Amino acid sequence: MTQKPKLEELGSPLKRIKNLRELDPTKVSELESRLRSTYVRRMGEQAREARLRAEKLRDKILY
Amino acid sequence: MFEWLPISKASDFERLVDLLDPTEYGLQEVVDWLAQHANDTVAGVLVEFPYIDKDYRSTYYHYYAKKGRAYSSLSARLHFFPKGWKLSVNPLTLGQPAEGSNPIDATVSRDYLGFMTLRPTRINTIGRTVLHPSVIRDAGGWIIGHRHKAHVLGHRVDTRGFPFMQQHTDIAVCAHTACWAILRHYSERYSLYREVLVHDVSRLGREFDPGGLLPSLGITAREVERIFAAVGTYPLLVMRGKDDVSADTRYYDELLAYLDSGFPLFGVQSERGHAIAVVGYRASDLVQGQASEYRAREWDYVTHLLVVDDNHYPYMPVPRDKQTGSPYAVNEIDGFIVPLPEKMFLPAVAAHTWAADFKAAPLPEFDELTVETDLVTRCFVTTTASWQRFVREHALKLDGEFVTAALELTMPQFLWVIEYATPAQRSTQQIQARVLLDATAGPYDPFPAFLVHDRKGALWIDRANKAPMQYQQFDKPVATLTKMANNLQEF
Repeated sequence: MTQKPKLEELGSPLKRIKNLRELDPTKVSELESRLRSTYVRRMGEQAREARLRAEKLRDKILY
Repeated sequence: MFEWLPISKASDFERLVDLLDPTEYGLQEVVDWLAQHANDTVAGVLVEFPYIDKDYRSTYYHYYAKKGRAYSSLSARLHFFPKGWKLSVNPLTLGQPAEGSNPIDATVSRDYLGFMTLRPTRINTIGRTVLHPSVIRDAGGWIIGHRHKAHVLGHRVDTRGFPFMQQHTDIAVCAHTACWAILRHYSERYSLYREVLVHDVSRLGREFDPGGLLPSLGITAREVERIFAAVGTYPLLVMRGKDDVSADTRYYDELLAYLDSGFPLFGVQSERGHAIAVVGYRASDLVQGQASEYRAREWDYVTHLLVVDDNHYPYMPVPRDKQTGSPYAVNEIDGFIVPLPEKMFLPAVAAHTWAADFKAAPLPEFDELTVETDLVTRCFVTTTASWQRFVREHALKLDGEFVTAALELTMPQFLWVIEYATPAQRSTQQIQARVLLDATAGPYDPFPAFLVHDRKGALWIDRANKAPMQYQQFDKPVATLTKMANNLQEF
């Protein structure tokens, strides 16, 4: 009788999906590279602007 | 003592003056408020006196008891009921002729419309109030709320709503009152947050005890952040920008994303120096506004924000632009503070920016995102538990293996959900595709997703097991995908 593996040894639950294929690593790399040059770059710029704007609002008196 | 006030027309509220001291409880102002804002859903008011209101008592002990003029320590409370309810005496019972004279708590709760406390402060006497949105004239829309408990004649009842009170003007001003409303919602909704009384709110913003005149002079947005932080939330302050043409778009995208996540917002009108709680919105099937760049976002369809304003009434609709009869417009709310939970590291602006960039050039498996040129993007936060409940409720319409993996995938407590829908799908509560983003990811992670799926298949990223991106093609396409709408309730 084979012993069942422990839950912690099962790894990813995605293993249960039969019809699963790994994406072409080149395409994934292209996508990530594009998102780095758009999304990630923009997040850096926007974070700076958002910090400056928030600082202006912090001292407004609300009554 | 309890007295029953039958209401068949707005002027019937005037009989309150026969039951309570009209000067102490500022009854003319209360009667006018009820006649103006309560609709004909209210057919009876149970008047309770004396009532010990913890929020008024917190200000009484620290402020009103110190005054030369005598202030009572006792409040009154009004309970609102729809048609069919009445009070019987000997024995004192609430009853509904159709269901007997001693109903169970659940029957009373089913119809209970909420309560309003009246404090003996002569002016601005409407204290802690929770009213079901159906009671308020012109209050329809998607609203954040929770069931608030009350004990009435031995019944433990509750009603769904958002806390409201008028500002005291001296011990607490609009900013304190908006903080109080948001924090009372949090303490009732989440066991994680402690209850904060009105006087506590006025103290928490400063490093020293702000007694005397100080509370009446107002507080800064920085002190509001400190109040929210003191009770264990993580406040994020966002101000509308003028840096570039898309700054407005980003601001409203962010505002709606947090609101649609079920986080009430502390709204700032910096020109007026006024603060409100933003608790909901009203949307249309038609695009609002003129700018073409706005049409790809859920915000484009929002007609009003619904606010709890201590100078007005709960769930007050605020139009996008100034209209006659409306005290202000959405474009005057130029900043907000959202009290976030701890494990939220990815801001709304990141979810929206990622959603737009992914849609512009997605993987070939999701090419319909570029084919459908008029997709509307909606972003909101949910919990993994809510996501799994949603999947279970729709399991019969989804691919079996997809359901299993969705229920087993290890994810953090909070997720950003991105839903893309055509305008036609949006109007029928359906979507084209959905993305789950890791809300604990940093904004410099280029692909912070756990799942991207449409009707044909799913892209899985098991981040907890550092697995590569894997695509699952469904055996047969799913007929329709339903929009998730579990944070706010439509009234």
